[in-house]
Amino acid sequence: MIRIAAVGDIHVGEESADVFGPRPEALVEEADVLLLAGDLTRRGQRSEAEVLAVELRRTRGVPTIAVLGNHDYETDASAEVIAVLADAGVTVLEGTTQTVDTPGGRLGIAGTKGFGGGFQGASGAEFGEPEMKAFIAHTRTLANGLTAALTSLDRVAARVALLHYSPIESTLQGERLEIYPFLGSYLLAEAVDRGGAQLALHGHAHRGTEKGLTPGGTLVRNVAQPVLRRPYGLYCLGGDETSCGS
Amino acid sequence: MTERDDAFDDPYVPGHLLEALASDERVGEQDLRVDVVGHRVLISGTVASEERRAAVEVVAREFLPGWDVRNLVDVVQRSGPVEREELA
Repeated sequence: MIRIAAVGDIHVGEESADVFGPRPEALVEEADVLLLAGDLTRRGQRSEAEVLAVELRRTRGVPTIAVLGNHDYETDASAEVIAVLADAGVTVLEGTTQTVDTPGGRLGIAGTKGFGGGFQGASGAEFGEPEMKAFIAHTRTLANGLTAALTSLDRVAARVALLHYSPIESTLQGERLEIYPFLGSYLLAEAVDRGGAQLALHGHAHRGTEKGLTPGGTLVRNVAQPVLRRPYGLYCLGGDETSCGS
Repeated sequence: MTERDDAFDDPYVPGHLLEALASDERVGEQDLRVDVVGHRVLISGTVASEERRAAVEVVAREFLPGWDVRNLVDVVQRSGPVEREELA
């Protein structure tokens, strides 16, 4: 099995410590890869990314792949955040892919922050004012990028979609219904399903629910840290069951 | 009466305070809720650190001087056991 550790919405600030729990070095024993589902920093500042980089050094070099979240754009310094994380060995995806060779096989990860718009029957459309059209068009562009990235992953044992915004409603249960359109879009679920992912991970919805399925039957996990109530989620995907615990 | 005394009768205090908390560089959190009962404002939700929880109250008191501010905000729990889930 491929052992995937995942968490989002860690909102690292300059004061943060033990973001991945008191024993982050355990990650190298437990997981083949660490996936970070956005809102890595409190306000997208370089100083916050530097604190995260220090925390990641404690994970002993577990391959780490991330997407940004809305908080990571707050101070218009997302490029600096990405640069700091790159120096720390973290690959940040946006419509792009990363493969990781593990004892359980090659894992292919495609990532996008995603955006909002709502879910089938209660979603916005590219209609009306330019601002509304731009809003939904942005989500559609990111979703199309995710589909293309997933389908480009060749000769992999499993495909995982890594997002910040949610592709489905069921992992939002617990949030107020009125804000669902700001939490994700069905276009992201369509991308996950058309792209052939076996698993989709997202954050963003702190009051949501961990487990769900896309309309096409792809497993979804909301790995926002406030939802998990533990340092990270640990998921074993595919392969030989007996290797999950090793 | 000061401008903030008038605010006791302003039905949009919750929305404005939530905006202030999200945009203030000392807080920068959105997972908060504000309820107003008379001249008392109750702030609940979850933030990532104790320092940020304290900052919520500082910012709220600055934004609403003279109000009775009750800080009911929790810090994210991340101490639960890491359990493996085997996915089909």
